[in-house]
Amino acid sequence: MSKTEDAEVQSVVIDESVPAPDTQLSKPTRREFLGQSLAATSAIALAGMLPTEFLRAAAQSCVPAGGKKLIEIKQIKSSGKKLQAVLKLRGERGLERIVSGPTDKRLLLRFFEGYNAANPADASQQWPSNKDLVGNDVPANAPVPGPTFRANVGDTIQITFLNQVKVGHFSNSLDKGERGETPGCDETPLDPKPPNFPPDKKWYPYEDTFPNCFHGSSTTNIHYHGTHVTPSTTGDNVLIFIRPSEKVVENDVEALFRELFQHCDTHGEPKKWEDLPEGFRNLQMGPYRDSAGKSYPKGLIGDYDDNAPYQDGRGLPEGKRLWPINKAAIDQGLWPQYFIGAYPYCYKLPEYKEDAQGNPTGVRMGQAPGTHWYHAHKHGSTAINVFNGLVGAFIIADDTAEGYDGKLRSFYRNKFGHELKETVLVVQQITDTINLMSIRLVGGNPRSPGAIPFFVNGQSMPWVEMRPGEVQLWRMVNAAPQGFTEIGFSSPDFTYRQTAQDGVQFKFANFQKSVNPKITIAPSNRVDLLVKAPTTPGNYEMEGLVNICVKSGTPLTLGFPETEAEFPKFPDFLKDIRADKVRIWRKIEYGWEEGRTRNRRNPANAPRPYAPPQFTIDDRQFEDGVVDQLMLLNDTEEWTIYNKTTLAHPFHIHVNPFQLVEVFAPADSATPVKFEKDMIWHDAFAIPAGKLDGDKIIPGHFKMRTRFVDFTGMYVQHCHILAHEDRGMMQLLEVRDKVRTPFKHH
Amino acid sequence: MPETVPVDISRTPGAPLAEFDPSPLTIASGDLVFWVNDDEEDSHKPQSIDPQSNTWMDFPIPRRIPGEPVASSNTVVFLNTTAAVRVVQYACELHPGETGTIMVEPQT
Repeated sequence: MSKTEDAEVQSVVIDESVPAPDTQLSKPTRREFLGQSLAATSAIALAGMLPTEFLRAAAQSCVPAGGKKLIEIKQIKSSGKKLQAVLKLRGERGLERIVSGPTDKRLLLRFFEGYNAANPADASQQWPSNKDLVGNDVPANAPVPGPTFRANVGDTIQITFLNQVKVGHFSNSLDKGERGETPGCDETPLDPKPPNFPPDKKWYPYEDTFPNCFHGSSTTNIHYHGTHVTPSTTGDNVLIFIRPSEKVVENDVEALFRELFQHCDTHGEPKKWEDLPEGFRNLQMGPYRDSAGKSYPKGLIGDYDDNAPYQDGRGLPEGKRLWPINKAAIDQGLWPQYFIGAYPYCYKLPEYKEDAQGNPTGVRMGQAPGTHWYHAHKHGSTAINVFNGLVGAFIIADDTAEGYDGKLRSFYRNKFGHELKETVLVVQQITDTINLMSIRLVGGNPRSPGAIPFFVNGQSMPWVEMRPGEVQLWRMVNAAPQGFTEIGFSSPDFTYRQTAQDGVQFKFANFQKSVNPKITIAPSNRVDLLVKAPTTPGNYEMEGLVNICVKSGTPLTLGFPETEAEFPKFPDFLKDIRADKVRIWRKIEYGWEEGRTRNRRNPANAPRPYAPPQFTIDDRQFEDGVVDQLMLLNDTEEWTIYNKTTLAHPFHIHVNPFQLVEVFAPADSATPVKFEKDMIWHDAFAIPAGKLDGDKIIPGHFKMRTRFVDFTGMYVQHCHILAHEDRGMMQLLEVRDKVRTPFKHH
Repeated sequence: MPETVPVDISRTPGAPLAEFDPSPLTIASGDLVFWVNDDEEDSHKPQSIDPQSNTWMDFPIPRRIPGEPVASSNTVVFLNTTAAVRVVQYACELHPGETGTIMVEPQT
């Protein structure tokens, strides 16, 4: 029995009375359940303000001397139902120092740079440029998030990705295992070695083992976090490796990718290698001749095999060469894993449509419009790359009259004569060093690196300007690799309502209940808020994230939507997943190695004084090629996700969001909190920490329902504390359209 | 917070030895250092001349080939638990005439 099957037997319960997916999943019923009590919204005053008056007022800045205004990240926008962008991964952008110290070193950080491929000359869609930064009183080359992508539901996304990072600028950048220098992990000896340090160990990786360790940080891919698209081929595919190349530039791939993008637009995402343009296949796998006439019989992959450093020389030995691995995959009809320099991301953001009977005519789940994001996601280097800043916001809009964006804008325009300003806040923690690789003797804990501060749009505590009484739509992305944050304003005169969670819009009932809610934003969570400024001018703070200055002037008298008719229509595909539709129940357990009860590392904890926790899911770590959870396409499942550790782990699953139905935080309450109606959608939720009871841990848990609809393929679920993910707290998932068995029963 | 600092290994055309830059390099206790081989002529393998030091790397860093990725070493984390500046002197194991210095500030 394989490990996959073994895992299923242990954790999966099937309800035979629920029909298998092919025969179910029609229109959800409109049956109502008893709900939770609803809080009333505050009264809303009606008044308007002329746009010209607004513009005049906006011209006067109220940011105090020395304060830095929030940088507005430029957006690359779709047009004609297509988002066409070039996104480059580059190096060298750095900041002066985050903390004081003995030198004036600059951190070298990787960053994303992009422009609109449909209109490369449009400076308003080129980001980042030093001109923009210096114009905003920010040092040239300051680290900032990548460009914000803005597309609409139903659009095709066409992104030419180029990995142009200069590997020599970054430590542990080339994969040391591939180069025969280590068993696979990055290594960091400590000098001098502590007196009682095990002689056979290095400071890093200590007990981490490949592939669940930090490694190969200049190889990457992009996760389009929050998209409901194919996880295969050119979609939200985090299983591919795109290696850097200084040999591949836009001009090499522009025409080739244009051909692919047209194919993708007409026929959908490529299904197999042969669907890629021949020119690009030849560039990668050969034969290829560059513009200087140099010949690459096995393409850039073969060239990499021949020239990559290996121990003290160049050229990879048999068994480590990438070309034969790719070739074997292609020969089996699979998608190859390795690419050099460039990759064409192409997928459609699916639009949900129903027939007259209320049954879906295309996809069963649409793309939820909202605030999403993208980031680097190569196992083993996700944390360092996101710490460097390889992140960006991805706004997926629904501008139709009743849609999320269209309705919020028209509500303020029609009722108050007010143009709703949108403020995108990308929260980051920026550093060039993984804390497990370094050491600090602070408070007796030799590994404590100290807190890593939050940056918002590339700055510490930047200033947001608001008119007195103004309402703005704040789109917040927690792109920090490990930091949790909470919404809190320095004055109760700030009022706010939540309109969406993780890019999935709220039902009106939940919006109505969200009166100045306490919201924890775990790593990778997004929160959309309508924020109303006080009418009294002055300086305020959203604690730990941004300063806010409220200008002087006549206060605007704006309110929040009061009735369902004033709020965006809730799409049918987001209706509650009813308990009686669930066919499969699973139990997933986030944990750490047997016997551990505490996270704190103490040198006195012999015999393993320096070992950080080995994080697990279902008592084991990620393993290449082993599918941990196998799902049937279009099935409805309920997962209970436990946390046996004493710290919260943000559970994230790709492709399909889920509805939260129960939360148990043993540190806070004796019984779980249950949601039976209007459950909120998430794509990440921090599993509450377990509670230590003597030497035992009472696990925290949450329960969710989800549908594995529309897309087959392989993807992952993992902890969004990204160092945990890199170190193995991740599972490989597969969704199949039918389950095959190799056995015959006769 | 600890930081990661590169040291470049390069050679003036025609020179018999490569050089480490910056040297001396001043870092905080807990910072990490790695070496980047920009030299097109030869591999290099920096190692502390203090016998109490650990092995910094198991293999030399291959020479640079124009157009190919520049190779770098693993990182080494340097610690100083004393009250004075710790001076770490090192040399290339393959070319002992190539020397460098790292100054580790005391832990504050």
